[in-house]
Amino acid sequence: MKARVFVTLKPSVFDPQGQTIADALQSLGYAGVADVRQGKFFELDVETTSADQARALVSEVADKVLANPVIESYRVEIMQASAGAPDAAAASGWPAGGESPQATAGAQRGGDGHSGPVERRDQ
Amino acid sequence: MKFAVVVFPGSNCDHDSYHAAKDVLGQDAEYIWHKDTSLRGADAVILPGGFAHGDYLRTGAIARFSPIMPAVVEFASKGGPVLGICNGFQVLLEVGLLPGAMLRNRDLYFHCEHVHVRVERIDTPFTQRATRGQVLRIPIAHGEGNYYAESDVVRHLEDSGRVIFRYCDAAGQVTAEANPNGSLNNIAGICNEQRNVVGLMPHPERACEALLGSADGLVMFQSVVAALAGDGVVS
Repeated sequence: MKARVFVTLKPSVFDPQGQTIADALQSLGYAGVADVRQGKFFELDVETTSADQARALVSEVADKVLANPVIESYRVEIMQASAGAPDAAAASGWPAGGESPQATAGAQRGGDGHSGPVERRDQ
Repeated sequence: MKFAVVVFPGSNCDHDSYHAAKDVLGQDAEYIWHKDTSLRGADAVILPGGFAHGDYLRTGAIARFSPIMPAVVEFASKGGPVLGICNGFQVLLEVGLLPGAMLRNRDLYFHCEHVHVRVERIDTPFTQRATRGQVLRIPIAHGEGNYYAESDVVRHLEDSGRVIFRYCDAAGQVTAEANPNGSLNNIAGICNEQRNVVGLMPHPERACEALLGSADGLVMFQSVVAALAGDGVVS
């Protein structure tokens, strides 16, 4: 089962790389791009029997290793073996709608451990 | 007294730290490979600069899980002096011995240059032979030295005197121009609650002899030798 982890800097942290990219896009004439935040993307191959197990395992890995909870938050997507598309219950809101990550899931030890839509909470 | 210099794969200032302790100060020093689990009776531990694990994932993120780290954490919990220099500071942050995190330098440049730092506190084993306000000219060499912590953490560090070094100009003035990387409050180095673990981004081991362009960093090594010899704080 494949899992995807997206790690991004928390909104309160200044992102000079993202800012540089946004400035470059402006120079290139893409006036419609207001802001860019750069993050990291991990793809994991996990040997578990259920999506719930996979999510729990990957969330722990994300919490402990992949993200630094002082400055980063993360979200997990579990890819069901059958389709190439992410688990429908997991992929709420991404990548549609330009929704900016408000979740500070990474700051909560235990991360997002349920297989429902990712909760977005302001801190 | 014996210094332990921990070596991670990718550490590159281990020899400089060893040299400062052994050749310049005449102390006993030993390299400890990151896969060892014992500090072999060391009196002080140095986590040196470099690029442990290539800085993959995040600086210090993988090194913090090295087999030697539980021994370092235990040594620190018992009050043993631990100095994290540059990458070593990053490892201390990742393992949680010091609070906060390092971000990419604000201007995105890797800064390799001499800077000035002001000694803010001399009540740590690594600064007790310095004087408050003393300006040290020592080199930095980092791309991710932009110290960040949440505002309540920074406030607590400031209120409890745990900011040990601050970037300043040659005259000791803490200015924005003197800040090479965007660190909050020009923080160049901090200590833990117990004041025995110190992390700083600049390299005192690379400023321990006049030949290197500055010997201002030597006072940090002299301080810990004095501290372990039982000398009190010289104010």
